[in-house]
Amino acid sequence: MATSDKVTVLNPMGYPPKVTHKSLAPRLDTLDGKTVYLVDCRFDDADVFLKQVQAWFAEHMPSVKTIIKPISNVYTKDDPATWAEIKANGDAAIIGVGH
Amino acid sequence: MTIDHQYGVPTVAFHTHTFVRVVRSVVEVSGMPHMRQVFVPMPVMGKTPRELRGYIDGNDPISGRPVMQEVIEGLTRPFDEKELKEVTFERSTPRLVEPDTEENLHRLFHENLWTDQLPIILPTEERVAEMLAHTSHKPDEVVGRMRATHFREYWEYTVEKVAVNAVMAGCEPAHFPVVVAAVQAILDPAFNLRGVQTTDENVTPLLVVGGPAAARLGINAGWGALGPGWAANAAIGRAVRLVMNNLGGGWPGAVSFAGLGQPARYSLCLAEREDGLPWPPLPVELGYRPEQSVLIALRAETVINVTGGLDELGSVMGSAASLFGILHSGRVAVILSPFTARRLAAAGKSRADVRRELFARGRLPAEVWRRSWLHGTVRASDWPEWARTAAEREDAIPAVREPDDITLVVAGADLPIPQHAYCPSWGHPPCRVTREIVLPAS
Repeated sequence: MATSDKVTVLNPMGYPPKVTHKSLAPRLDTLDGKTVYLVDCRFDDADVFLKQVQAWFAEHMPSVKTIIKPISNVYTKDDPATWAEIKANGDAAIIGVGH
Repeated sequence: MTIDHQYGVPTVAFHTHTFVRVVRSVVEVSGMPHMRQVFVPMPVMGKTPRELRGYIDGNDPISGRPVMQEVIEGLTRPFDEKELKEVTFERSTPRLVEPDTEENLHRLFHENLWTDQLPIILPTEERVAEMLAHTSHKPDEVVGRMRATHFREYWEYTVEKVAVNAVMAGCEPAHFPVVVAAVQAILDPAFNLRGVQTTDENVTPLLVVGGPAAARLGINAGWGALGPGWAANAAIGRAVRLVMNNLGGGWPGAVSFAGLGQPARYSLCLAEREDGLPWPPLPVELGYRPEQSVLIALRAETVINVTGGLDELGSVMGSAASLFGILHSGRVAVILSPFTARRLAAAGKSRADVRRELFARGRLPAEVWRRSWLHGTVRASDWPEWARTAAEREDAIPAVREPDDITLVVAGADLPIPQHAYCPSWGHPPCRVTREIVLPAS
């Protein structure tokens, strides 16, 4: 039977960490003449999807050079080598398709 | 996110619209709430190139704006003042909930999704203290850190937090060492808890208790061991599920995307029989001493009843039920009836012999594999080499990579009608994690 007495109970949730702001890269003035990496995160059929993105750029923005680049391993792992390559040779990235 | 934040490359990420809630939550708690995201309809997998082109030429189902316009603006539109403002904040979890009536607290727990939406036992300080008295671990000892996905932040939790969830699940204090061992086991990297929490498959932890603690704690290995009707089995498994939700953030539809789910996601815990066991106990086979009690954690995609003998078990193992296990080189469980175990032992077969026989009989015809949805969906190179080789050379694929990948558990009623269960696997890496159950000295 429910009573009007107040009881004290413990909170079942874990302890989340502090949220710290992180800056994002400045955006480009334009994509004209730029190299955009289409990063295949290797989630199922991401490669098929990105080929269609590449086709869209070829038709609508032919001055944009696109390169499809699969990540080195499964999408759950960081891929510093790929990020460094894109940083060295590209201007922007489009990653797909995550969840 | 890493490439944009750490490497300074302007980036846009594509996601499917079903995941908008989790995606936005992740970027917010990662300190990048203005990460540029574009959504396309779910699913991408299995769609033709023409259909996917339709997504790209269409509108973002979340914003309602053209997809490629969103992409181009995501890479070229400067961040405004509000977006550039640094947002840093603490998120604390108070130890206690504001005192209230039992009725209101039950409602609060329910509305905050702190439960599995079934009634719980309220975790009063007295009940939690009683739970903690049954472990040698200190209340503030950090058991581990859990995160729902690889791109989410780690949440830290203590022994006391695990005790709170064990109380809520209905555990007796004596069960607490088993819950602690189970939570430690699923945190082992080999268990791939992140995958279990987030996959769209229906996998769940299968908790097997072996050794003398099982009988001492009333964890059932006999009649209806998989339930219902056995408080210890039900409550221990439920406690682990609540821990996964409240300490690891695995809420259905927000982080957990199991398409169908399964009843075993409420609880899947049993013991191995000790009485009448014709072979050394499972923990001994795994390298423990007979006096040690052990929690064995496996990943189970489901539980399939099989009545019959090894032929019937092999038939089910060599079916489409094993496809994901084959894809991931998973470790499966076979729960064998005591009747059959004794009969096999009487014929001179050891547990290892039975595993080898099941390995030999559980073969998926290569033709079934090639015609399967999964074969047509994932890349050919994603299938493990051992499976591809077997398909080519033997025209059939074993349900597992090797006999040792079958964990053979003897449980169930001692009936002459031999009832078994096959628990196929899901997920990388091959997994069978064990932790000793440390009971208090008294």
